[in-house]
Amino acid sequence: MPINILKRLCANNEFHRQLESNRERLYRLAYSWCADPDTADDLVQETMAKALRHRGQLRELGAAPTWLFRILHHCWCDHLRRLRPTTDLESVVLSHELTPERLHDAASLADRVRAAVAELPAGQRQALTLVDLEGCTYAEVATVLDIPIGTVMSRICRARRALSDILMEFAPADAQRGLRRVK
Amino acid sequence: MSPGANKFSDEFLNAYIDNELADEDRQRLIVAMRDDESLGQRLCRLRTTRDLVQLGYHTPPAARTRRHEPARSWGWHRGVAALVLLGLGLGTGWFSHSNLRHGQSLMDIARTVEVSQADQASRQPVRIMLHVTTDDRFKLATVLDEAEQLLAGRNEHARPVEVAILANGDGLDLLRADQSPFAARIEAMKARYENLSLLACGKALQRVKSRGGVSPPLLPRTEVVPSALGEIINRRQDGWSYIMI
Repeated sequence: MPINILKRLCANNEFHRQLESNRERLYRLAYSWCADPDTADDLVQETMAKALRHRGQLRELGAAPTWLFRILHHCWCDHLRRLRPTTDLESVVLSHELTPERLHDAASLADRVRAAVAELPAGQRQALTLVDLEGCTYAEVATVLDIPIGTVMSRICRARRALSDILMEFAPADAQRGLRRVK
Repeated sequence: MSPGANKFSDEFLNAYIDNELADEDRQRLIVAMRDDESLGQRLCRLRTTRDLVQLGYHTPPAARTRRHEPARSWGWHRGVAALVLLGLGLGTGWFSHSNLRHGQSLMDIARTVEVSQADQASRQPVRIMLHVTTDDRFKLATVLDEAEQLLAGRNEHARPVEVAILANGDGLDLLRADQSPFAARIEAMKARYENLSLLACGKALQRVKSRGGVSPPLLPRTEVVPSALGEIINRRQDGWSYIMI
């Protein structure tokens, strides 16, 4: 049965708008996972390409961000497997060089934060950034990473605990005052 | 140790700041915080950590280079690489399909689809060029079915539609008076819909003539354009969407 071609053309256009409007979010997320701008860019391109190839899988345009994050996650896993074929992907840490000196030498607070996030195991890093950077719900994170919601919660908990131990001395002064106000 | 230290786990507090708690649990925590300052401090620490993460990636550094070589170990498909480079940057899209299954629609048999942004202005007529390059009867019938639906106005958007059927290569048979399996149907459509154009590629006609010695007769009111490629370029610039069969 012939379908309404106009409907498909308009849906195609809307799909492309969704892809384009999510490009920056994908890049920021990819960068938070891999800590390298060029690798992040490649991940985004691969994600876009796969999204175009498999656009028929997206049933509802409103679910596009979560769907794209899931594709990005698979691209990232493929990348890690190529680099470290025998390593447990969820435990991959980008850097083991986070010394106190490195933290204090970082040019900015943003650099310090990124260095600390790179120290997290990949599973924690992904869950945390999906929530903190992209505002995903725990259920959405569970869908993107294909893990139970309980695992999402424990990864976020461990990630924030680790980060707060590292970063709290660099927090803005008013935030630290709030933490020290004890009576 | 304060009462709240054991009563509310870190997972619970994280769920609170991430708005993941049920109302009842939120209320319970808020009430407990009135009597236990340590709970507030723990939450403040978690919020600060979250804020720092957001700060750290507020403006991520841009990629230094944009590499497009299909030889990179990313499993690029050349056609899809072109999709990304051409389609997304210009706000239009390319889709490639190569397999026909019985009963598929026009969009399923299309080899390439390129949507013009100019179509999106709600008062503009929708302009669609159907580029036919095959003599497959099923595909040709599908093209005519969908074209007729568009021209008859049977769409949800209630916008005027202009359709141009451009034929070259094997697709030229569609518009040849001595070959077309749908000659009568096309003539009827042409008579009924003034917003239908029939276009035959002049170069393709020339090739047929050079083989057979005679210019093939065309269906009535078929316009000959110098070349299919030139016609496609010109119409795309004029805001036509393009579907290649």
